[in-house]
Formats: sequence, C-alpha cells, structure tokens
Amino acid sequence: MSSTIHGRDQIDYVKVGAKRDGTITGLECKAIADFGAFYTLLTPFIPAFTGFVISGCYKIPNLSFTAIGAFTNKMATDATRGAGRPEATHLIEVMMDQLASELDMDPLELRRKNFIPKEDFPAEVAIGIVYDSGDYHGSLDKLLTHVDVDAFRAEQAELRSQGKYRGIGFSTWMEICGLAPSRVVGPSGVGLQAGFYESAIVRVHASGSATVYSGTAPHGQGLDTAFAQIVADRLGTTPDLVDVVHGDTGTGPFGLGTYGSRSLAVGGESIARATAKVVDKAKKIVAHQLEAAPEDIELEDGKFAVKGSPDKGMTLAEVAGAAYIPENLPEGMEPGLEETMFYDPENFVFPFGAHACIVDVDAETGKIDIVRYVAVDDCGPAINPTLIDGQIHGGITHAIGQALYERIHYDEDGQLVTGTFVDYALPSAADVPSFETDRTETPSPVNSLGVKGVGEAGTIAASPAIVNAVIDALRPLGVDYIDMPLSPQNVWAKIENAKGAGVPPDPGKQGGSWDEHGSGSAGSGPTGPDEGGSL
Amino acid sequence: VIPAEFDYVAPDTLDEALSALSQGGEDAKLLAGGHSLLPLMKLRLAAPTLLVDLRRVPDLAGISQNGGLKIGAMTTHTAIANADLGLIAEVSSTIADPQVRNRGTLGGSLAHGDPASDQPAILLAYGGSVTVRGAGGERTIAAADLFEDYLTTAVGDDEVITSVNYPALDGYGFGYQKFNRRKEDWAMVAVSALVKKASDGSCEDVRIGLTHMSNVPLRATAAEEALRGGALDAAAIAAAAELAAEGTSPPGDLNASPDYKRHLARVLCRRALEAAAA
Repeated sequence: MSSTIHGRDQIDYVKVGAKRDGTITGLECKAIADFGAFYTLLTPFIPAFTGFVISGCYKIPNLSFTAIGAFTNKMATDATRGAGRPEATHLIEVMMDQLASELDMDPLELRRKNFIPKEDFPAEVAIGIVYDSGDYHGSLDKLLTHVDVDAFRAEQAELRSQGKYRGIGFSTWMEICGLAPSRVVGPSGVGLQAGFYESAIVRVHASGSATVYSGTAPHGQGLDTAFAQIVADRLGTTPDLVDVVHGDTGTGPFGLGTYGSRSLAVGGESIARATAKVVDKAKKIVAHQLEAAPEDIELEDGKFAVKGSPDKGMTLAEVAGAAYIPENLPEGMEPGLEETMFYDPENFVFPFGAHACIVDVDAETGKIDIVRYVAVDDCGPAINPTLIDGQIHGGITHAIGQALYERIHYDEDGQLVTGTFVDYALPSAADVPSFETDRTETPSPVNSLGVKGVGEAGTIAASPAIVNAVIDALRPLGVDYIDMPLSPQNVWAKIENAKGAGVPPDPGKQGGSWDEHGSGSAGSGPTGPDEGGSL
Repeated sequence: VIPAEFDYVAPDTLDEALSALSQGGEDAKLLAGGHSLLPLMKLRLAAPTLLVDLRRVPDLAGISQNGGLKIGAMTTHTAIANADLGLIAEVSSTIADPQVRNRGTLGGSLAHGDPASDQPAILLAYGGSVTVRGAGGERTIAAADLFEDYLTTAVGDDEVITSVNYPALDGYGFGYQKFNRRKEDWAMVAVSALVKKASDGSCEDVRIGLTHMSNVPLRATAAEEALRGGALDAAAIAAAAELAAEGTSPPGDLNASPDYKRHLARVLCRRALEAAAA
C-alpha cells in the first residue's frame, strides 16, 4: 500500500455554461493532479486522459481544459482501472445533475437535450478527438426499460413522507480506450515513448488444431476464451481446439500487453486479422485442390467449399494436411499454415452506456445502502457475454469502492495511515448488490470485430450514478453536493451542516478551497461548488 | 507478513497446557482460533516465543444450558451463531466473515479484550462471568472485572479461560445494532440492548452494552437508569437513548470522530431498545 502507485487524486474545478432550455454552450475545467513525489509509468498522462473525454456524451461547442500537475511527498499516482476517465465521467455526470437542479430540469431530459445524436458519428468533439460510434439515446432508452422512473418518484415521495431517504442517480457515460494509434499516443503525439500496436501469430497445426500467440498479457480477464472463440469462428473449428499463448515474447511476437481496455479491440483485432490471412491462404489451397477460384470458396458448417457445393469441401484439418504435406499447393505458395499480424489501430474506440443506481441513505447515521444497480453497456458486438458481465460487475464494484469506501490517507505528518486493508476500505462481495446488466451493440468502425473495450467501463461509469443517487436522496435535507468517498461520517456531516450544525467532516477530507488544495488525502472527485475556489 | 520465530506446542490436556504456559513465561501465549493473535504476529505487533495451542484440549468447546448458559471457551462463533441463543447467537453471526467465525472462539475473543469486538459488551450487559483455570486452581471473574484496559483483561498470564457463563435472562427481548463501514469490519460502534417488560408494559429491567465506545466495553448506565422501572414507550426510549454516550470516551479514528461515535451510540441505542422492547 505504501510503495505501489496510488490512483485518481485529482481535484477538478468545473464551470459550465448553458442556456435556460438546457443547451450546454461551454465547459471549463481546471484539474489539479497530485502526481506524488515522482513519475512512474504514465503519471502525467492520467490527467491528459481526463481531458480527452471531457465532453462526455454531449455536444459542447466550447471547451477549455487545463491540467496542473503537483508534485507532493506522497507515493506517485498512476493508471488504475480507468486512468483519467473515471475522473472525467464523474465531473461531467455529477455536473449534469447539478446543472439540471440549477435549471429545475429533469436530469435525463437535460442529458437527452445535449447527447451527440447517433447520426453525427463519427463525431469530432471540441477537444479534437473523433468518437467512432455511439447511440446514447438508445442506451438510455434500454436502461429505462429496466428502470421505471415515474414509479420510482412515486415510491420516493411515499418513503420521504415516512422519513426515509431513497434516491436515484444516473450516469450516461462514455470513454476512450483501445490504446492506441501509435501516431497519436507515441513520441510525436502525446509523447509516450512506445508504439501501441498489438501483435498475433495464428498457427494452424497439421492436425487442424491451432495455437494463437498474443502480444497481450491477460491476467484474469478470460481473454484466452474470447481469443479462442474469434479464431475458431473464423476457421470453422471449435474453441477447445485453439490454444492461446501469451505473456512470453520468447515464443510469441513482440506485444505491448493488457491495459487500457485494449486487449480485444487491439489484441483481438490483430488475432482476427492474422486469422483472416490464414483463411485467405486456406481458400487458395482449397480452390487449388478443387480447381475453383479462391473467391468462390466459402466457409460453411466447418468446411471450406465452393459456394453451393458443400459436400465437396475440405475441413480445416484437411486444409492443414495439404499445407504441411505440400504435394499439391498452388504455384509459388509456401508450405505451412500460420500467419503473423501487427496491428496499429487508426483510432481509439469509444464505449458508452447508461447506468442507474438507487440508494437508501440512513439520514441519522449517514450510511448508504445500494438498493439497485442497473447497467446498460455498449462495447460493440458481444463476443462472450459472460466475460462482459464479469468485467462490468468487477468494474462497478471498483467504482463503488471509489464512491463509498476507498481512500489513501496520509496524516498531517505525512504518514500513510491506510497501509493495510483493515484501514483501506476495499469493499467485498458482501458490500455490493446484485447487479442487473443489459447491453446494446453498436459496432465500432475502427476494427473488423466492431468491438470496444469493456475492462474499465464499469469503473468509469459508476461513481457518478452512485453519488448522484445519494444527492438525489438528500436534496430535501438541503444537501446538494458531496465529495467522495461518501463515508458515513462524511454524509452525516453533510446532512448536519445542511441544517447549520457546523460539524467537521471526517479527518481524511480532501479538496477544500483553491488555496488549500491537495491537503488531506488522496481519492477522487471534484470539489463542491459550495467550497471550491474560483477558476 | 512473516511472524518472528516462535515455538509451538499442542498439549493433550488442560494441565499440560497450563504447565507449558507457565514454563514459557510471560512471552508464552495461548492459541485458540488464532484470528486475532496471528494477524498481530504477522504484523510483528506481537512476538510470543511460545504458542500453546488449545485445539487438542478436551471439553473446552460446547454449549450447555442448566439454569444459566455455559459456553466452552473454545466454542467457535459459528457454533454459537447456529445455536438458539438469542442475542448471543445474533451477535456471533455478525462477526467478521465465515472463515473467521469458523475458526475464532468466544474465549479467545474475550481474552483478547478488544473493545471493538462484539461479544465482550454482551457478556458485560448480561452480567456474566468467565471461569479460568490456573496453577492455583479455578476461579471466576465477573464480566464487570474482566476488561481492564485496551487488550488487557484480568485473566492472568498463566491462566486459561475454560468457560463463559451467562445468567438466564428469561423473558428479555433483545436488539443488536452494529455499525461498520463494510459488512466484515469491526464495529465502529455497536449497541446491544436487553429489555424485560413488566406485566403492565413498563420496563422491569434493561441492560445496554456499548462496543468500541471506550478502551473497554461499557454499559450505558445512565440510559439504563433512565428507563428502568419507567415507561417503555417510544418517547421514553428516545429520551433514555439520548443518554447512551454519557460517561464514554470513544477513541476516534479515520472513519469516526469521537463526536460522531457518540452520536452513533445514541441513534443505535434507540434502535436497539426499540427492537428489544418490541
């Protein structure tokens, strides 16, 4: 805890301009990022990533984003699940609710009014990034098939009359992932000293089984399964006959690894492209053997065959046999059946979704109970829905940790006091609800799979839904803003202070005024409009 | 993560355990479930030179009810949680996680003397006691005398808790309100209440235990006195609960200032009393 990187630790001061009808005209954000004592892998890149998606899902014609890095005597901050985008989503989505309240508008109506419409994609936003594809209305529509907001409001009113505080919060989120086009992120772009392509070798053995070498390095995401599915689907075999090997540049091609929700959109795409090369060669072999044209060969029911004559086709094993015992290959063709692909994407990919969270707040103690969490996410066509759900579940749990529990705290003497998991409150399965998930599938034009990353999505999406829900619950008590983490004492102090009680927040409070920024603990989240300094 | 070097014995009888404990001197420690001691050793906050494991000693676990309730010191939290023991069982079911409950023992928890642990304040509210054996024989320590300071009890270095004794509080309703950030955390504050109603609905007796409101478990004496012998309606309970933090000196920490803990004690006391009086 003391010697590995810390995450988040941004203080974001946000100004938004909007017309009375809710049309947003501009956004200005000044971010102060606590870098810690020195740079590690990506330290200064994290607030830059916040800036990349500062528009969120919205048409915002005028934008200003300034990031200031502050060196402190703490451990360095760096990328943890989301890396700059959770900060962006949080400030935008909490701000949308603040603006809706200010304009006395429904927060979903405000969002819909400003969504980038489906027909505008690919959509360039003011910061200069081009979003690949999106259907933000569709995502919210799907969410609302699961969440009846009118019924909720009636229930909320009934509960309030009994002195119970239930709230609903939304996050219509998007993010940028699939790292990355090397020319954008590399030395002459953002300035990272590396390429960001991914690599794959697809080797079909003489038996017809296959081994895939990936430059990514999955560590529990289940990518072996997804990669095997991609290859098996394209070669007319089954995933159990496809071995996936990764994490060893001694056997596989040079790759960049698993991070930045890139393994499928970049690594998986390189595998798909290598497989396509194998398929091309297989078709040539089959065409030669069947005395047909390669373009007439199709893969159907596990056989490469001439269109319309499936009975005369060849299985992958038969094709591989012909390739490895090269008695009858087309003129000039090399024996063997394996291909290598290095793939450098043309653009990032931009997943999105709509989340809703319902919470009960114990107004006497400040304790929050998440009653319901519904997530509709869009990461393009689903290759493995179970793996997607797993990532979303873990991601939301991670965000619940950020919103309600987790905080690195140094005391006034600079001593780390959250050095173990006793003091650093990481939520367990017992602390989170059962998540309800659903999907929309909007393909990305960036890669042939149409996929977008999903590994960080839940974490990027969820914290504002939770915080907005708590604020929604407590508005009748005069609470309109709370900094994360929403520990019981922080929430209780907010409620008491809204009554004019003058209760200090808990000792780990971060943020504060412009002049005092950075004191207190790490964590994340913007400083409240009631306590922030001027821009 | 790795404890300092220590010796380990697992004697077959209580007498052998006592003898090993006494020969080991002041740096010998008893090992029951190990879920308090071992983490302290791994953090090197404790470095006993000898562990005397009680796991093979017969007759230290089990629950018997004969007038009062007697629970063997090596009875696990899980065994207690699964027994029909009202407040005591409910409290055990809230301790940490299943692994800890399956290993951790009632005697071990009481001997550890952590004011954030669940069972000490319950024993205090019951007015129970522990039976201990030492070289000099057996003695009984009343709960009111057991908890001396933070992690310090009246059990001698050469003594073993053999059983935990609770008077039969027939006809008492109970409530337990434990407040923590995560489900498996120690209590930031917990309040236990035992209430006996008289035939006219008034409060014949009330006992209120406070967890983590001082360096030792406490009873909310002022609140008890305000309620005992009087009405047991919502207003009386609320008024009594306002006194729950009287005389406490809660330790503040990252999650809770002393003032917040006092506030929690008052709220939780009211809720525990309401449940106990229902």
